[in-house]
Amino acid sequence: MRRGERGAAGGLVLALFLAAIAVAVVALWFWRGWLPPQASEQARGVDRVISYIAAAAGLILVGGHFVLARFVLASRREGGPAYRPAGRRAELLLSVIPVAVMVAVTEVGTMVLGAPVWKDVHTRQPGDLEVEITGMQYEWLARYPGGDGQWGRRDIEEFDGAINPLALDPRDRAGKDDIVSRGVIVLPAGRGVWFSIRSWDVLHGFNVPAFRLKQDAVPGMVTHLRLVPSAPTPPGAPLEVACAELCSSGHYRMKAKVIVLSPEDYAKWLETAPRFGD
Amino acid sequence: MSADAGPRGFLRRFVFCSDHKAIGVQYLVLAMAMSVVGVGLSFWFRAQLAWPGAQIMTPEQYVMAVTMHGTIMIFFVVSAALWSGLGSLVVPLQVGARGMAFPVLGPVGFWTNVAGAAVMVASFFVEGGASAGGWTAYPPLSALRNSGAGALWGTTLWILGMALFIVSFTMGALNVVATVLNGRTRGLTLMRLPLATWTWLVSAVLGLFSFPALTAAAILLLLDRHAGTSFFLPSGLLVSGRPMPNAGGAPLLFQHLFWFLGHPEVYVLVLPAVGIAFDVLAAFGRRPVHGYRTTVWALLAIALLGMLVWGHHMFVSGMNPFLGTAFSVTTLLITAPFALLGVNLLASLWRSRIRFSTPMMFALALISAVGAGGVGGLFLATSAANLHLHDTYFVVGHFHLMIGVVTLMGTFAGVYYWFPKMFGRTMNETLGRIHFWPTVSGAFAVFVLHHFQGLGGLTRRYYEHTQDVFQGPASLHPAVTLLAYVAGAAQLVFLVNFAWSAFAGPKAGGNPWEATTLEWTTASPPGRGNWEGELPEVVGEPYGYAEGPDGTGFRMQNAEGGR
Repeated sequence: MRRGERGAAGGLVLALFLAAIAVAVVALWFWRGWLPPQASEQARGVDRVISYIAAAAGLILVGGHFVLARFVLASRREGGPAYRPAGRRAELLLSVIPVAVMVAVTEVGTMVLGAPVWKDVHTRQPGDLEVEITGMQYEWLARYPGGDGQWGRRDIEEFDGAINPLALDPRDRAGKDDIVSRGVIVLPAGRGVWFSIRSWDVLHGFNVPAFRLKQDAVPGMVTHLRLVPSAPTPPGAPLEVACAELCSSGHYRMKAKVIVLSPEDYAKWLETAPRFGD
Repeated sequence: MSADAGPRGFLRRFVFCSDHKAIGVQYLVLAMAMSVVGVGLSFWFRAQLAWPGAQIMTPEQYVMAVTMHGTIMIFFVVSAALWSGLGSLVVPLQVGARGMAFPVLGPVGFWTNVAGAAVMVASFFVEGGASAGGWTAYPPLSALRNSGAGALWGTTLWILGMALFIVSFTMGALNVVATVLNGRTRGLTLMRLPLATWTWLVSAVLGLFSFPALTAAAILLLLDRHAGTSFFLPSGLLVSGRPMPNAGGAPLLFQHLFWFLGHPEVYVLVLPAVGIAFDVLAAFGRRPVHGYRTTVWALLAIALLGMLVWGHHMFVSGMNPFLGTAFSVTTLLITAPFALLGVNLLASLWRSRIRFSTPMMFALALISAVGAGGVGGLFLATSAANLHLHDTYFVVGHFHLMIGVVTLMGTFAGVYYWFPKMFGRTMNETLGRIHFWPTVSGAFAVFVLHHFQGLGGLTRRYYEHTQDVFQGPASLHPAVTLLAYVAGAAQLVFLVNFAWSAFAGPKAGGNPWEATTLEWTTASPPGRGNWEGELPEVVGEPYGYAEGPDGTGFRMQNAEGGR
């Protein structure tokens, strides 16, 4: 009669298609290790949260799609069971159960698994090494306070793109032994690092995929991030920084390297690295 | 107003026409025209991503293309077609009104929208090029005229175009609210409204509450750019090696204002798509929707919670981490009413007798997209997972599923469904199928793959992914591009079907789908004034399906006709 009704075969195809979406998503998840290597202790926590949500949400996704496919399939049958309204009880259950399940699943993810990670990366611990990161179009700079543990003052008038990109004030004694490293961030393995992140110009995103963490660099304020690099990087295979906040056309090439050293090698590097006052 | 022949003359009939049905069609045509620009831009930058060695565009062109693609698709395609187009067409018909409450706001709003679209397109041709700071236009990049590509004049025009869009949307939203609240016909209580109209009402209210924040942000941004103010510009800025004179501003303030609109805007667009799906599921599943009441409550809960979650876009922005936790909790709470919507959509198919017409195919695909999009949202809303996933292709895939795929499935379902009310004809079913399969399978493939690329950390808005760590996920770019081309090209079938069917499609009667809501109680297309003679009087629920002794009859909402 109606043009659409010839499409019962289309219903079968559609039901298969809907089921296939769910199967494809699960298959893709297991196809290969999508997550980058874990290079920080915090990465384990983040990956645990992601895996938990993938399992819980994956079940919901697969279950939902199979129900959908089944209803589409069942409805092709002529003379199947006739419609009747859901009873009050069924309607109540179908309202309360999904709400309860979603709230339970999601709040467990964020409060039980997520909150400790979130707190960890935002809380400075005694003994953490403080490293200052500055973003500018289109490069990253790292600064270390040197032997005195004091940060030298900045004076914007002293900025010189070639020799003083952080605009350190040469008159400030505290800055004499500061170490400025352009495009390379050197960190000790196994020790907490407290990043203080700044930007000269526009927003940037300090992002090391292998650390599983990112934090925007915002001009006019200092943002922070804490992590513990887990192991020294092999020679020639540093970790990579990839800017994660659009900063105009050079955004894609705003990169830096992260070299993680053993505590001994790090101490050696710290002694030999050139100082600002040199 | 009576059902007369209406005004004569080309200008009054087609340009400044105040008939809501004509305005609906005008919005759809505007959206189709702008989609050529918006989708064309994506074809261009997808080529660059897939074959970076070919140097298809410059990095400057790339950031402009992604910025303008997002802006145009959200505000001048999806919003124009789904919210304004179908909303103008359907709301007065579903509430049994002669027209919109303020008929003049219709053409004024439409032409303001056209002006906004024209300004956006014109911005490609000004000095410095179109805006390139992302569709989110975060300062300082957007506030500094010397910050790089598109910063000179493009961003100024972008702000102007957005302002015109906001004016247009506000007029449309006021009209919808007034029409639904005051223009309903006798017997049509709020709890008898079809769910499509409920969603337009809720989203109109939501938009009216949230757009003023963006308006304020846009004005302040304009002042920062041209009047030397420092609302979003802090002291100590150093741009291209030059110290800036600004002091005292806060870049994060803009992000708060932007997302105070930006997040509700997602629901402004998604909810009508879901509402359309409910109407279509009932009409083609031949049974009432499941849980009408809980659906209405869920919509209201989503609207309320939707205004309290904007901070989940700012987990890594430098916002206080404690706020991050708070926004994570509120965002995950909103999954509860969404889960309810999902279950009600699904349960509406239980013991249905589906007629597999094209609108129904799209409505069924929409359910799947809501599920898949929602699942991605769970990851992003969890602040700890967001540390890794923020600003990656996971985000790109997620929001395309929600405000791209869900909205377009709803739009297509609505256009195929209500086409008779525009042109008195139905669209071609075979072309509908040819449109459906590549669109749906292509769109799912593209945006699901985006999620997996994002798990690999692949950063968005990158002209080229040269980092070693990205080589794995980036190797999928060519495949994704080709799939996107297939899905995009399939839209030509839709355009052809739309144009051809408007003139030569099979004539439809007043109620070709045997649907029960008020728009099907009048002629196709309805004349001026929508009903000849008296307006219909509503006597019952909107979804009078599965009636009669054998459960295959239906009852019109005004109890006239039916079977």
